[in-house]
Amino acid sequence: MEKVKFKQAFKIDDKRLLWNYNRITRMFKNSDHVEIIAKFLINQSIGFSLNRILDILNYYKPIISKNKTLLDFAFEWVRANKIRFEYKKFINLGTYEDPNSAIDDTIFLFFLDYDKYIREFFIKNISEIEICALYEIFFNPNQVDSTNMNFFLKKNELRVHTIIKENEKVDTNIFTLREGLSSMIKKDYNELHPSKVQIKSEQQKNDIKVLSTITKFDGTMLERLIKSYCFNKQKIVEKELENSISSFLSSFLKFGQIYKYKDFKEKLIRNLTDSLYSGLPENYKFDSLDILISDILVNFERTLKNQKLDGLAWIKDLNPILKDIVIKFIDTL
Amino acid sequence: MESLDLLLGLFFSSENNIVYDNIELSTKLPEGNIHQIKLLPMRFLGPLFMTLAYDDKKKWNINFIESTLSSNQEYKTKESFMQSFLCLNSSVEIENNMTYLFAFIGSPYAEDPKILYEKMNKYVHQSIIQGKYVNQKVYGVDFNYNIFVIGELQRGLNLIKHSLGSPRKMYWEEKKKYYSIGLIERKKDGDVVESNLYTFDTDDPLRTKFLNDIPSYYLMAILPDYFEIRILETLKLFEKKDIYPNIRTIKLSCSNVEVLYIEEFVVKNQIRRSYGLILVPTHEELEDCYEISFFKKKLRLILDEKRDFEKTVIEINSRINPFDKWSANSNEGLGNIKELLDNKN
Repeated sequence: MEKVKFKQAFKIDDKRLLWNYNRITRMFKNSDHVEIIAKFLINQSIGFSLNRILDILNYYKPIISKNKTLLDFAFEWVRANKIRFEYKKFINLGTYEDPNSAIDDTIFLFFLDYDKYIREFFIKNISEIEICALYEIFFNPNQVDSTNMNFFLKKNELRVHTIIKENEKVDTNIFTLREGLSSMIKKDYNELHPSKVQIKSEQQKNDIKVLSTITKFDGTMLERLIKSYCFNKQKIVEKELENSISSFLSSFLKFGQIYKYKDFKEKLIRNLTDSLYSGLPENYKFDSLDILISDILVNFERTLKNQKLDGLAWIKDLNPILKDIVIKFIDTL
Repeated sequence: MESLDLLLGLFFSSENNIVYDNIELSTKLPEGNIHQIKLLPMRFLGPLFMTLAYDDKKKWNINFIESTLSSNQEYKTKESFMQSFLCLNSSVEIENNMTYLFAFIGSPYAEDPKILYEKMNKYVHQSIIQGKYVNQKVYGVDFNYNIFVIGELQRGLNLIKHSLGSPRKMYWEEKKKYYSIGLIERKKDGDVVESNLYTFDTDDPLRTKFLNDIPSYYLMAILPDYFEIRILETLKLFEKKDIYPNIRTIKLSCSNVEVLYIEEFVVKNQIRRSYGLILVPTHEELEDCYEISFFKKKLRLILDEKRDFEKTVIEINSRINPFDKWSANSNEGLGNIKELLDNKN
């Protein structure tokens, strides 16, 4: 959405706001500029105490871009209330099946263009933590605690990252938006649709039951890897291969559970064979793969067959062997 | 919406050309079909890779393919309510490698492709790319890219699913003026298929001028047939044998260059005839630039046989030769198109 379109969609009465601001300036002639703007914002009921607003204004003041003023920033704070109001009306329509859909859809519809728009108010190298904090201040004031700005930002350090690659800032705006707004959207969704939340939690209980009865190794990643190789004839990246094998093994073998090799041997060979076969297009032929795999696993079986190990330990031991099998398999294609 | 009348698949091809998929299967399908369904993006993106081979300086992106669905009289008993079929493809370049996010959507409504495409391109695709950097920073070597991509595809699938059934809007782009550089005539009578391309004369300077604005005449000539067959295959894989596709729009782009193909069709006495136009945005120095509605009206006039074919083609663009056709469904004809029309000299 272009800047003008955006301003039209979420229109604020600039003239009335300016009149109000001038009135407050006249009333508090002896106060400093930041304090007057803070009082103006209190007058607009943006939901913070005077000291908190002063703290926020003083923090963002030095990072506002040259062609914008602190008053512009204050007006945007008021506009944010308008956006929040419109967004809440929309989410109230209740067409979302779960909070995650509501998060993605409302971020796309309401905040993606807003992100582009609001970043223009700040210097180019503003950090993602500062932008994320701004979203929380503008749209989720109840969640912003009463500590000062520096503490508040420190708290976000683990969640939000500014990534620099070859001296260029990598665009991670969607993740910043999600971090800054997800909790608000989720909370609004849960408050507005309590019946859907209850249904969802019952479904999740059922899902957990299903998960506890996993009966096979899931080789979807391996299958996809082979398929992509057969079609594109591109060299397989080692990291991709390792990830696929880890995913295959960890789909069955779980950390914290003890297994004997004989508990899963047959399944491992059968599921690995199936996954590799199903990755092949019709014109490829490969016979007796299962025999080949069990031959390779013989040595491994000799040393470890009577041991009882944790799922994670089995994954670590089996990973290089399966990697070797898959590489040999790919070489024959 | 009945779950049986919705087809939805989302595929991501990473910079290493590994394809990840997430498909909504509302009905149980045979294993073989599922295996074939997973190969669909490779098939749909086939011509795209062909253009790359054709001219590696220009990377063309097939943005969307839209098709209406008609009911097949032979399968009257098992009626489907599905009406439209869309293929959307978002391409984003990262570190000199292309990544693609591809979706096919079969729906009982006339969907709004623009909003769906924007959700894919601006949100789902970007979040996959951005997520890689963010998660690598957070988790380092423990970051599992495969699981992450599958998770994002699920989010994307939910987002697209939620948007289905939205009313189709009128966008300002539809008021944009275009210039037609070719007309494709397609006829299907049972198993007999005929496709012909009408365009500029080989010695017309406009022919070479517009070679910079399209992938090639060859590719433009085969695209409608190619994608119609792919959609038909897809429908069969989902066991939707009671409907067949009719291509309506194909949109391609390369940097800021855009090519649009629009088509109208009619079925009479079991014979299907369709006419489509290859359109490029207005070139100021040229006459015969019109809005899409003008072109659609002219195509309907040809199909309804209310106006003389040659005369109407000249009304669309006086530089297109309506008397010489180029066969687009025989090796010989396509060879001629490649040799004579795609010749840059």
